[in-house]
Amino acid sequence: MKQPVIENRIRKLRFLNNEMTQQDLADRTGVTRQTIHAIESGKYFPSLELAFRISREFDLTVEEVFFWREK
Amino acid sequence: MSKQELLSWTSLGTTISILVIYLIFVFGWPEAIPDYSSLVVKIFVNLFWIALAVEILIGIIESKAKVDKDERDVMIQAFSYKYAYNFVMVILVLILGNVLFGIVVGDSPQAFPMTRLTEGALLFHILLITLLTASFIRRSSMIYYYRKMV
Repeated sequence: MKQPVIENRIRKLRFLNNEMTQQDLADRTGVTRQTIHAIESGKYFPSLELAFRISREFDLTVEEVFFWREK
Repeated sequence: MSKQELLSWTSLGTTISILVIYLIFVFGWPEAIPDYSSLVVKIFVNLFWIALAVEILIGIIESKAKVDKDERDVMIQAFSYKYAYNFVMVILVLILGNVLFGIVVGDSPQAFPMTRLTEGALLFHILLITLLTASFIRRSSMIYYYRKMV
């Protein structure tokens, strides 16, 4: 089975939100900095709960932060 | 490197040390290789103490991050437990098969030396080595997943 192509805009959104660091976002969402880094680089797909928590930090919906890229 | 990954590295160090020292203690140094057993034991005893000291230090030093463990750590743990569990199950099935074979062929270790594997002290050594190897598999697969998901 092919790896799903789920991408996100977290890195861009962090910079648009007062250049929030990975550590800040991690602390706010209750995960480690390494997890945020892994999500940003597309090496780890978060749970639905974490996806909602991240999206809420940016006052956006999940689909505005995470999206399926058609190939 | 996250706290959980660091702990995986230190645990891998202590597990390898115990495993190597135990194997040398139980089975001795292989005759085909020149005897470096005292040097190897010394190296792994030092590795054990260093790994233990680092592990204690990690526990004492308060992490700057608010979270030490999250869903990614739990997922990696689950993957690595699966591999270790599979390994233990394979060994247990082999041991059970060996015991059953011993019962079927009767008590004749001269005719079937393999049945001696499930005798008293040797069985204990095999089970202990299995547990240590399972721990090694668990820790090394955890490190693999941590490195893969950097």
